[in-house]
Amino acid sequence: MKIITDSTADLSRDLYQKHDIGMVPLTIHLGERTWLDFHDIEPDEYYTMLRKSKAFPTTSQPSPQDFIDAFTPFAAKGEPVLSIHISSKLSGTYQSAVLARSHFPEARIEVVDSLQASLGLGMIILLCAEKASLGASFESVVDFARELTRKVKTYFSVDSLEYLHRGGRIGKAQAFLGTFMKIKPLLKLVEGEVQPVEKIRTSERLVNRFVELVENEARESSGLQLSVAESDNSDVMTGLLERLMKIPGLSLVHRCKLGGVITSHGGPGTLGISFVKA
Amino acid sequence: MAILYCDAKRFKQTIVAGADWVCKNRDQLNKINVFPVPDGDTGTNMFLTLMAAIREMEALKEISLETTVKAAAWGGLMGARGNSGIILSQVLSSLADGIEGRDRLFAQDIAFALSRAAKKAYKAILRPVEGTILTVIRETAETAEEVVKTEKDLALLLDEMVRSARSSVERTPLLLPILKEAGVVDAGGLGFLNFLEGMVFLIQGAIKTSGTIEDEGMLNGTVSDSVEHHWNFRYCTEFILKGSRISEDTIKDALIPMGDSIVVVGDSRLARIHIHTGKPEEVLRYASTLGQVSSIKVDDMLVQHTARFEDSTLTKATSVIAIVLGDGLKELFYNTGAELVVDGGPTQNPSTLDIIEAIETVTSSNVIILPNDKNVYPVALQAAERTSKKVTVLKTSSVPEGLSALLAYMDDGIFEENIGRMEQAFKNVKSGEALPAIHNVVLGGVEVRSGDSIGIYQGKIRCSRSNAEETVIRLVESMVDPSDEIITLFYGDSIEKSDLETLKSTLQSHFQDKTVELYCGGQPYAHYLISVE
Repeated sequence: MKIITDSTADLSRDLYQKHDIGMVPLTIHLGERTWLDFHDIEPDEYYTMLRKSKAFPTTSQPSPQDFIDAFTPFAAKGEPVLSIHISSKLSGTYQSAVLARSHFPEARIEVVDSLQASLGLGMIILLCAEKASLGASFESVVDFARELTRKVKTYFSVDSLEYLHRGGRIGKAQAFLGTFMKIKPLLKLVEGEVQPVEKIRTSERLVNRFVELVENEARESSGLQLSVAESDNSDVMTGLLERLMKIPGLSLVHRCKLGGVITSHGGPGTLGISFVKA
Repeated sequence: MAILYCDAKRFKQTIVAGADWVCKNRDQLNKINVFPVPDGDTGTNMFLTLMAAIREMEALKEISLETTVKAAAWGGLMGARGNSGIILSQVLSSLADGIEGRDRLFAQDIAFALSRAAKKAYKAILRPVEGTILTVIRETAETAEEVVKTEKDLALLLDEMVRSARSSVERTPLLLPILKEAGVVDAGGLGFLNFLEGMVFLIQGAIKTSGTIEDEGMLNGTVSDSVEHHWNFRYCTEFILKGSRISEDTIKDALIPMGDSIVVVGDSRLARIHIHTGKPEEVLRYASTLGQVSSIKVDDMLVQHTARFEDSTLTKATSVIAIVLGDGLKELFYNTGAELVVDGGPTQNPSTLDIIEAIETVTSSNVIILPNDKNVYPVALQAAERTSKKVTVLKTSSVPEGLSALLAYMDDGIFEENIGRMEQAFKNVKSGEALPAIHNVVLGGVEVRSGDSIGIYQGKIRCSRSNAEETVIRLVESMVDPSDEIITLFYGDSIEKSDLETLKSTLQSHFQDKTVELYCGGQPYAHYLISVE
C-alpha cells in the first residue's frame, strides 16, 4: 500500500524517503515570490525570509490534478492508497484530494481528513506507516488512521495571533484577539479547528504549561506517544523537549520544523506538541 | 377646595405632572423590570410614551379640551413604547373617546374612561397576566367607579385612585410568582401608580416635597438572575401599520405562532403593533401584506439584557469581579475578562454594600473577586459572607497581581480549576509602585521630600526621586532578576505622555533582554504601577 499526504504534514525529506511516503506540496506566495512548500524552500530559509518580509504570506492548496497525478501510478498498478490530509476546516487540500479520488472509481483509494495539521498529521502518518510496515492489511491501516484522527491531541502557542487572524484560521481563538496585554496564547486543535486554551504572559510559564499538559495525560495512560514541532524557536523547544522526555512512559515519535505553509499561518516563534495514548 | 372639572389647561398640566413623576422614578422602574422580559426599560418606555403625548399637546395651535385630549391620545398611540407604554396609551385614548364637542371632563368621565381603558388593555394584550399594570388599572378603575357614585371632587377621586393603585401594586407579587421570586413589585403597575401620584402631587402643590416611593419599601428588590426567560423571542419588534380595513383580531391570530407579548392597538385605519419574536423579518413581511408599515423599531432584548450586566454572556460558568481605580485599569480588566469592575483602590475603598451589589449583579452564581489591594480584601471577604452566591476572594494585593490572575481565568473553565490557575498565576508576578510623597521624612534610610515620587517594592521604600521616571528606573533595577522576561508599567492620570517614550526607551536599553510594555492605568493615587515577571 502507498501512503500519500500533503506538505502540511511537515515531515522531513529523510522521513518521506525512509517510509516511502508520497507528498503533494501546497504553494506559498510571499510578495512577488512563489514556492512549492518543502520542494523549493526549506523551513529555516523561509523563517528568515518571512521575518524580513514586509508582505504578508498567503498559501494555496494543490489542484485536484496534482492529486490525480499522484494517484495515477498506484491506481494503474492496483496498489491501494491511503491519502491523508490537513484538516478540511483549515485548508481545501482534502477537498482537492476527494475530487481527484472520484476520477478513479475502480481504484482502492481512501481519502482521510486528519482533523490535524503539521506535527499531528505527521504523527498519524508515521504511526500508520509503522503499522503498514509490520504487515497490517490496507483496511486495518485505514481504520487505524481514522481512529488516530479522533485521538491525537495537539496544543500549540504562537508568538502573535496576527498570522492566524490575517490568514483566516483563527477559529474560536478569536476570543483572545481583543486582549490589550501582550500574551503568548496557548491554543489547541479541536475537531480540526483552532480553539483558545489560556492566555500566558511569559515563555517560561508557557513551557511549564506544556509540560503540565503532557504530565497530566501521561498520568492517565500506560504509555504516551509524543511529537513536537517549532518554527524558528529551536532553543525553547530543545529545553521543553528535555523536560518532556523525563516524564515516565513517554516515547517520542518525531520532532520537526514547521514548514512554509504552516508558518505562513502561525508565524515564526510557534511551538507545538501532539500526543496520543498508546 | 374641591376640583369639580378638568379643562384643557388642567388636563395638560396633570399629564405633565404625571409624566414628570414617572421620569423621576424611571431608573427604579427600569431596575425592577423582570416581567415579561427583564430588559430594564419599563420606566424609560412609559416616560417616552408620555413624552410623545405631551409633545403632541404642545404642538397644538388651536387649544380646546377636545384637541388637547385627542392630541395626547394620538401622541401616546404613536409614541407608545413597550408593553406598559402601549397599555398607558390605552388610558389616554380612552379619555378621547366621546370627547367631541366637550369642554369639560367630570369625575364620572374619568372613572368611565379608566374602565374603558382597562377593558381595551385586556383586549390589546394577547395573553393578559394578572399581577401586572393590567390588574392595577382594572382595580383602580373599579375603585374610581365606586367613588364617583357619591363624589364629584376630582381631587378626592385621584386620592382614592392612588390609594387603590398602591395597594394593587403591593399585591402584584402575590399574583405573579416571578415578581415574588425576584423580590419586586410589577414595574409597569408601579409606573402607572407613579403617573397618578404625579397628578396628586400637582394638586397638593407638593410635587417637590413629596417623599420618595423607596421609603415605602416597595423597591427593595433588584432583578434576580434566577429568573428564567425565553430568549427564543429575543427581538422586541414594534411598528405602525396603516391600511384601510385592519382587523386587530386577524392580525393577532396571525402573529401568535411568531412570538409572544403581542399587543395590537388602534382602529381599522391605523394600528400599533408590538411583539416579542425570534423572526422580526417574518412579522414585518406579514404586516406589509396588510398595509403600509412605518416607525419600525427592532430591539435585541438579549443584547439589552446582556448590556445591563456589563457585557457578559448570560450563562457564564464563573463571573469575575475586579476592584480597581482608574479608567485605563478598568478597561484593561474588562478587556481581560472581568464581568464587572467596581471602583476602588488605596484612596477610595468600596463599601461592603458596593461589593455585595456587584456580586448580586453578575450573571453567574459562582463568583471570583479580585480585590487588588490589602485594604479592600477584608471588605470583599465580608461581602462574600453576606450573599447566597458561591464567592471566592483571591488575595491579590496589587493591580499587576489582579491582572495576572485574570489572564489565567478561562471563560468556560470549571470554578475550582479557575481558582487554582488564577492563584498560581498571581504568585508569579512581582509588583512595585511609584507614589507621590506627601511629607518630608526619612524612612528605612531613604530620604523622602514632599512632592517626590517614592518607589515601593515588597512593602519597603526603595528609592525617592523628584522625577517619577527616575524612581521607576531605580525601582525596576531592584525588582528584576535574570530569569524575568517582561516589565510592565501602568501609568497614572498625572503622567505626561511626552515622558513615556523616553522612559520606555531608557528601560529598554537598561534591560535589553526583557520586554518592556506600557499601558495607560489612569489611576489617581500612583504615578506608576509596575510588574515584573
